[in-house]
Amino acid sequence: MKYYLAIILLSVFPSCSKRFEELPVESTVFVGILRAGEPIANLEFFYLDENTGEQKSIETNALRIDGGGTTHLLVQDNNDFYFNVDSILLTTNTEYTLTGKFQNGDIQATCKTPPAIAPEPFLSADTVTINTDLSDSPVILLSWTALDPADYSYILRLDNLEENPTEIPLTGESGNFYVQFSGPQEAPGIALYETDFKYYGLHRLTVYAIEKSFEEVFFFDSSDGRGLLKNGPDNVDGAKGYFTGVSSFSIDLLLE
Amino acid sequence: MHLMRLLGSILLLMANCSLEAQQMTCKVSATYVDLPLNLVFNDLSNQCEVQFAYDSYAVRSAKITATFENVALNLALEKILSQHQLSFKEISKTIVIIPEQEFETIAKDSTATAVPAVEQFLIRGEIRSAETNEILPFANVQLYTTSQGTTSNSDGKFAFTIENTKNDSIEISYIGFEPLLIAVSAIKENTYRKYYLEERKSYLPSIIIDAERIKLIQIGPKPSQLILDPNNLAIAQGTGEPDVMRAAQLLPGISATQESSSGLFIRGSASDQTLITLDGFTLYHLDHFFGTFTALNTNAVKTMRLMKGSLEAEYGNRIAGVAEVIGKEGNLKKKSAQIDIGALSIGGVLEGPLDKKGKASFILTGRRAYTDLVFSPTYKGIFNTTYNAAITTSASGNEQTFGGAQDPQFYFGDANVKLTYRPNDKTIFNLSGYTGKDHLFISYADTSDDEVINLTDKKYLDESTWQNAGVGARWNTEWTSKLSTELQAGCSVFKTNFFTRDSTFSPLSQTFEASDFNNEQTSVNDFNLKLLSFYRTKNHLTKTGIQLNNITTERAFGENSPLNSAQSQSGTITSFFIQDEWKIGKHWTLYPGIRVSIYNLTNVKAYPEQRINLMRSNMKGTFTWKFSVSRVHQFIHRIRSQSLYLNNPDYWKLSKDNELPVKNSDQFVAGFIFKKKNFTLDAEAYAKTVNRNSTYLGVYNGYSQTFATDTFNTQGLIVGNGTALGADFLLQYDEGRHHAWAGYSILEAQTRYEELDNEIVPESFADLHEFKIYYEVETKRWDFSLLWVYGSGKPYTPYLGNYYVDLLNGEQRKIPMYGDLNSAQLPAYHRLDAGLSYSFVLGDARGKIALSCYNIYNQRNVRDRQYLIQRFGNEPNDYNVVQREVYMLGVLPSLSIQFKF
Repeated sequence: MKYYLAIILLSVFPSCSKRFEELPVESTVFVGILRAGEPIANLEFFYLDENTGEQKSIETNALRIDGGGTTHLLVQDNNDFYFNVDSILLTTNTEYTLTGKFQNGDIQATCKTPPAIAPEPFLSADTVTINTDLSDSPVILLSWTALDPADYSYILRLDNLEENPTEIPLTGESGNFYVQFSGPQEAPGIALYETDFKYYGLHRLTVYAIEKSFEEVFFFDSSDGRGLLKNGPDNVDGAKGYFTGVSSFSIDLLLE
Repeated sequence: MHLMRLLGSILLLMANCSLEAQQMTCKVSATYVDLPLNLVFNDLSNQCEVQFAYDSYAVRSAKITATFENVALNLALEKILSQHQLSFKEISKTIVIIPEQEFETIAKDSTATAVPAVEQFLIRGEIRSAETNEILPFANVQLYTTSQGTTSNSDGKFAFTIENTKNDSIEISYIGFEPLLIAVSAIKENTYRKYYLEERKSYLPSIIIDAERIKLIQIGPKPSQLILDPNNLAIAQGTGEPDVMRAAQLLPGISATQESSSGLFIRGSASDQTLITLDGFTLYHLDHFFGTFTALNTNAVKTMRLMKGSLEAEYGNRIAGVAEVIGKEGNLKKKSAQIDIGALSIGGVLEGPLDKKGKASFILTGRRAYTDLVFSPTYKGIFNTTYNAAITTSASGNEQTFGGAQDPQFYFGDANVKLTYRPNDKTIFNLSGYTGKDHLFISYADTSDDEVINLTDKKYLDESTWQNAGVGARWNTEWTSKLSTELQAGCSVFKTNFFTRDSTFSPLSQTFEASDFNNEQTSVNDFNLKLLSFYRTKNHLTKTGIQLNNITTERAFGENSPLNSAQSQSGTITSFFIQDEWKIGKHWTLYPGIRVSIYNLTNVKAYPEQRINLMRSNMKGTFTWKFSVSRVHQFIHRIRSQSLYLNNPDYWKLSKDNELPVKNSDQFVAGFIFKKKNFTLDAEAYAKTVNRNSTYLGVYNGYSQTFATDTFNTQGLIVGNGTALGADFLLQYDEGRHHAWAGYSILEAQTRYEELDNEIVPESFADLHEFKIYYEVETKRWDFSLLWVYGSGKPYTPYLGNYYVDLLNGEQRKIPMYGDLNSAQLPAYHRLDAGLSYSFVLGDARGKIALSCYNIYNQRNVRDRQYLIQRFGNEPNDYNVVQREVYMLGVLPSLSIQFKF
């Protein structure tokens, strides 16, 4: 009798005894945006400390990005960001695949840099004279290469390049650009008004084409209707995080 | 002739183990005047410290008038028993009372040649309660020496082919009844006969017959089968109401740490993978009070047969197991009534014969919660627990719902009715019906101070109704002693109506502006028709049948809007099955079976399933091997809502190509049953696959990872392939007034989901280790029971922290991050329950007062961990995350009173 019992116990227990030990909490994160026309830089690979939630950098030489017929090996810089020492420029409309290993787990993610975008011939002005009395007409009309709206949308960024910018003395609202264009847009063009600006001087307007799926990061609402925390967007297999590609162009504007 | 139902020749085989001479010459002194014989035995038992065994039904009318003064026990017995043509035999420290006629037969048999006759013959009959004449379904019928045998069917009928050794006996046992031993020699071949069992009554003085054989759980004749009567478990009132499902959860292999009566989680499977039937119709929603206890009234339940896998070919469409609940048929001898006053509800039972010949009977049970009228401490305790599990407005989780501006309005009710008509011994008609309803109206407000900046105050309003109803009809007839037919028809309806409205305070208008938050209506309609035939030969019992099951589901849903028009599905499963019970020699029994289901909503139309069970017993019946291989498909699934209780109800959905695939499971079971004196050990190891298992991701789904979309809005529903590997051990101890069992389960259940990077996800409802100990002692009037449950902790999905993604426009977005699904473990679950009851007789009425206490030491068991957002500004990143423990029930005393007259 005891032999029968022993056989059953031995056949069952070993397979069940290490359930949670074999399934450690996955807390590694990879965050990276590939910018066409630039070398790979500023990619993050870290884990969240289970107790404090702090980001702890992971040092590894097992990360690589393949795409465009080239393998890019990633190493860490002094700030714990990963980059490609070869400084090879990424190309547009190219699929890139991230692969890596961490604690015997495979990490993989894929993105595709959008096609190249550039300003269309029509740019109403690159030097803008601000009329503080305001007018109803846009001061800048800009359009650029139209991409398939099913796959891509656009993000706009406006930087003032002056060291000590002077504020425009508008009587009403100003600096509306950051509200108007805080999220992705589908239209391949914009109209800027005087109220969109806040400062005089040299500005750089950058237009990014992004993968449509990247929009979920912009629109992510951290809670459901009754306050429960929702899980964040994630497109990395074997880890958490986000991996995407962008293409872009910039124009400089001088506001007087 | 009742006297024929006495102990058999097995007693003579044991006769060499006689009482010590000292006990038989024990001097007795007593004066008995017209005293019932069983009381005389009781007195003699006390005087001489001996045990008596007898057929209490046979001696029930015997009364004794005699006086003894220092008379030897054997002489006193001779005088007493001769008044009623009885004799006695001393066997194994027990004095067995035997009718003289039977005694002569037995004595004659004992002097017969040692070579037994080898001819086989058929024993047929039905098993009934001696008190009410009701049938006893799933009673054990077996040879005393070898334990080879069978169980009665749901009509209490059995047929059993034995080898006529004449020196053996047939033992008939049923939970809660005293077992009956009948000499094989006293049974005529192929004669249909009724066997009456005496109910075990703690409130009446009685001598326990062969007491170590009275069990609370009966291990079925096939692998993974257990039979129990929830009415016989003293602790069944743990949460204030008797509970069929809670009783089943005390068995190994069935999770007891869910604190939910909404179903049975068998061997790592979700509760929707267990088929639960009442008198032949399927029940889709089983609980009252948001899972706190079962909607099935135990007053209406006769017995329950559990199959933890290893299904018979007759059953399908659920991959984990079957709980077959048989309703009471009602007292066939006299009308009786019962009133129950519990901690939450008032109920009653009315039963009795419908004719003078005892051929027809009825039973009507009903109960209605008074929770909308009286807020008892038990009710408040349960409601606050469920309420705090549902709301997400407070991180503390200690909100009190009573005593405020508006108390919650909640009630439930249910009713069962069953009519039975047996025009003769060969034909039975049953009609059984059930209806139940839960209704909740609750409003609550978020005025929490947890938030750093309380930007908006909100008021929430939830109104929910659950309704369940079913009716089943059954006709069974025996055409010949070998052939019988049964026709079952059942219809079941389950409906939910869920309405929520949120009101947000507007600083501008200084009023609350209301808007629909989430509205949902769902329903399941199930129609079932089954035709079975049974054909018996000497070594075979062959069951063949056809089943037609039509299921229609509907769901209308509106999120932040009124209800959309209802989406509906309708599917039909037509099944053919055949199963044999094949006795191979003295040791082996093989149950080969096959079931083929035709399903109309998938491109694959035919789903074959094999069911093979094999048992091997040794000669003494003390050791039995059991093996089983089975495959089952499941065509309907319950989609689990992310919410716990008060929010959206779960809904049912049929399998369909490109939407929700058909689940299937292969299961292999190997185990043994070992009996030694008062102990029985039942051990089973199993391995099973669950292919195309589905789960709902809820908040884990995040923003827009839509894995499956269809008209049923199953966003966040993912499908994977799972495995469950484990073992169940049940050690029973039954002796005299003491009953105990210990159950231990070890289980690893997990599913691999392709959509989750092929992650291996542990099942959220499975503890790796689960341990249960139950002890019960009964005296003449008192019953006392203790239950301790331990679970090593369920998996949950932890929140790990945040990371940031560059949005390219100069901003960063804070991204919260959960760990892998079910990758962390909740604290261990444990609790201790106790029950104490006192039975009394008041005139013609019998009464019972039961006091029970759930979770005596108030263990704060964690059901789940939730993560709540606390905002401190208007920007998307302006929030903190706080963890909230969702607790289960704390200490919960309850009192109930029962009168039967």
